[in-house]
Amino acid sequence: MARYAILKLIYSVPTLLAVLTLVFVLTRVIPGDPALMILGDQASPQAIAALHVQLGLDRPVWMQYLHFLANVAHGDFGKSLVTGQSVVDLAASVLPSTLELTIASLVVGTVIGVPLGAWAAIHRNSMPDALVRAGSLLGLSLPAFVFGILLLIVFSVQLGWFPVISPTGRVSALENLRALALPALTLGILMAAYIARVTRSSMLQILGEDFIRTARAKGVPWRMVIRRHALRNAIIPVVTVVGLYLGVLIGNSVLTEMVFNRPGLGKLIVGALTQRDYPVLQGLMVLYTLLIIIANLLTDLAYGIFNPTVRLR
Amino acid sequence: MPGDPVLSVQGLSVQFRIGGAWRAATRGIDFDLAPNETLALVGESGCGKSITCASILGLLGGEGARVEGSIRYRGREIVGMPESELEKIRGKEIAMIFQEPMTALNPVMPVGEQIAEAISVHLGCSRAEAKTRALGFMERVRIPAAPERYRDYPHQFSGGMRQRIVIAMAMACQPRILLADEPTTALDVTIQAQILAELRDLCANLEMSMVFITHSLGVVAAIADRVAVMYAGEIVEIAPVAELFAAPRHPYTQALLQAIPRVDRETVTLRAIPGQVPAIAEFGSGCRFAPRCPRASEACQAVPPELAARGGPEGHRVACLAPAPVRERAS
Ligand SMILES: Nc1ncnc2c1ncn2[C@@H]1O[C@H](COP(=O)(O)OP(=O)(O)O)[C@@H](O)[C@H]1O
Ligand SMILES: [Mg+2]
Repeated sequence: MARYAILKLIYSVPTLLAVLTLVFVLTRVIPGDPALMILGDQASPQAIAALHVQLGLDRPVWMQYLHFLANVAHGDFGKSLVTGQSVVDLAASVLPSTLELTIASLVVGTVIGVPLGAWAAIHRNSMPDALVRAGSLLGLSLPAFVFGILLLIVFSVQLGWFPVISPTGRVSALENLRALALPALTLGILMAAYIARVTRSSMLQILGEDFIRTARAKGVPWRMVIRRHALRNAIIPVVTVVGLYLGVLIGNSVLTEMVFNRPGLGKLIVGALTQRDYPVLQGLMVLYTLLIIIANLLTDLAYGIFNPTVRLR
Repeated sequence: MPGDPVLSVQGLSVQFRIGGAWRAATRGIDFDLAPNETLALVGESGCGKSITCASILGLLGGEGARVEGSIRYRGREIVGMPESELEKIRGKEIAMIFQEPMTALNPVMPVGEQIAEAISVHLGCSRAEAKTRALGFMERVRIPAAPERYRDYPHQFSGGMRQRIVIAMAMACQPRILLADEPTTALDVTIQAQILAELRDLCANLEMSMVFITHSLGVVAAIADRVAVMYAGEIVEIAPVAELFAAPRHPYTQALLQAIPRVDRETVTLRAIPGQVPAIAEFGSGCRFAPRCPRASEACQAVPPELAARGGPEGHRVACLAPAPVRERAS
């Protein structure tokens, strides 16, 4: 298992390198001089030249590239052009809340989606199935911000159960959980719509398999057949799909963060984009890549846990 | 025949809903199974062997299928029995093994646990006890190094070994009846012979009756006491093995026997039967073999012929209005 993980990590090095190169090239071909961006159009040519030397922009491109890679290897992504904060510090300050939201919505999505999908498959073509399918369709077509705003209006504004704006700074664990509830529910329920759909079709396929008939033929009660034999197999493709969705989830949390006014990577990246804060943009792109690589690795490991036929390889 | 039958099937008909109408895939299936007896069900694929077996375990039913007639297991009616009752019979009293060992096992559950599950479901014993018993049966069906392989998964076994595991699973509660649905069809010839021999021994040692499905008359000769020949959803002839091979009476059985290649003859002649098995929707009201039968008359088209002795010995019955004459026996 450990060997498998290490191997996977080694395989992701080329991916990472490709992304780094892409990021480097992108920031070089974007029109505009970073020095001008920092100093403003009124800057003297001397000041601009000095900054070029400072930023290393006077050196040949291949040296800049190597320099960039070396910096990344040291965990140095430069400073924000806007606030002057180090990019790493900026990212580190919002990463926990993004991870928190991602994991919480994953849990919500799985806990709601898997049982609903299985329930629909078992009662195929009857009322429960129709309900789950309609609900899932609704969830898949509803934009996150619409759903988020709905939840916000009902539970925060009307009922006052949850804060309207997420508190910043240090808060108690309970406060934190309360602030997390609605955003996680928003993303989680939308994810559940997706998971339910995948679980349903996977379950339908498994229920038609020979080994289900074998289990019935040996007298295993139907409920146990479902739990021990069907669900355990049906969950395998769900793991992969959820893993793929995880990357999308990290990327798409921005709307939810805006609606609930939560700090997070999504908000940070949109901010950096509108302010043309290239070092921040560059750093966050690399961070996203890393997160997605890690998410894929975890998915592979989880897949191995659920599916013994790959475990041995 | 010694003792009351353990299984008695009468007028069994399995029907499927096809295009809005109920169509009978099998019709008027009658047979008894005596204690310790092996009955072979023979017929071309699609003639209804598997669904006959599945209905004995109450595995059919639900939306698109319905079962009519009577299936009595030691006097208890299985047709219409509630699911909770059926669960107590399946695996415990009547067990089943399947044609395809590659897909009959749960891929994500260790094989030992799949055997032990049958035991703990029915005997309600502890995990450890179920494991011991399961290991015993794994050894009995000759799985090498059973204790080490208990926690292995199906994909780590060959087809023959998987079929042995399925057999161990079926034997685990020492059922009275084993339904074997083409258990050797998917295996290599050498493995086939081994598995057949082992099944025969197990049946003898555990005092089990067996319904053995096959489309191979060679296998029938190796394992069965009696044979029922099926054609298009009906039993056309039923007789003790030796009797059927020596003196087949139904034209379909005769053609089948002639179609077996014989190594003891100089030239192997394969006499194929002209025509095709009709599809379920095309079944007529008369004898279903009539369209292909050289001896068919108008009467054959009208009503289905009953399975009856028709001048032969009581144990040899044939569903044909013009059966081959009973042969004189030198006594
Ligand atoms: N669920 C089903 N719905 C409709 N037709 C079925 C179903 N199961 C089996 N059949 C039909 O019933 C007939 C008998 O099938 P089966 O018992 O599997 O044949 P075999 O003798 O090869 O085991 C076949 O024609 C098959 O197509
Ligand atoms: Mg079959």
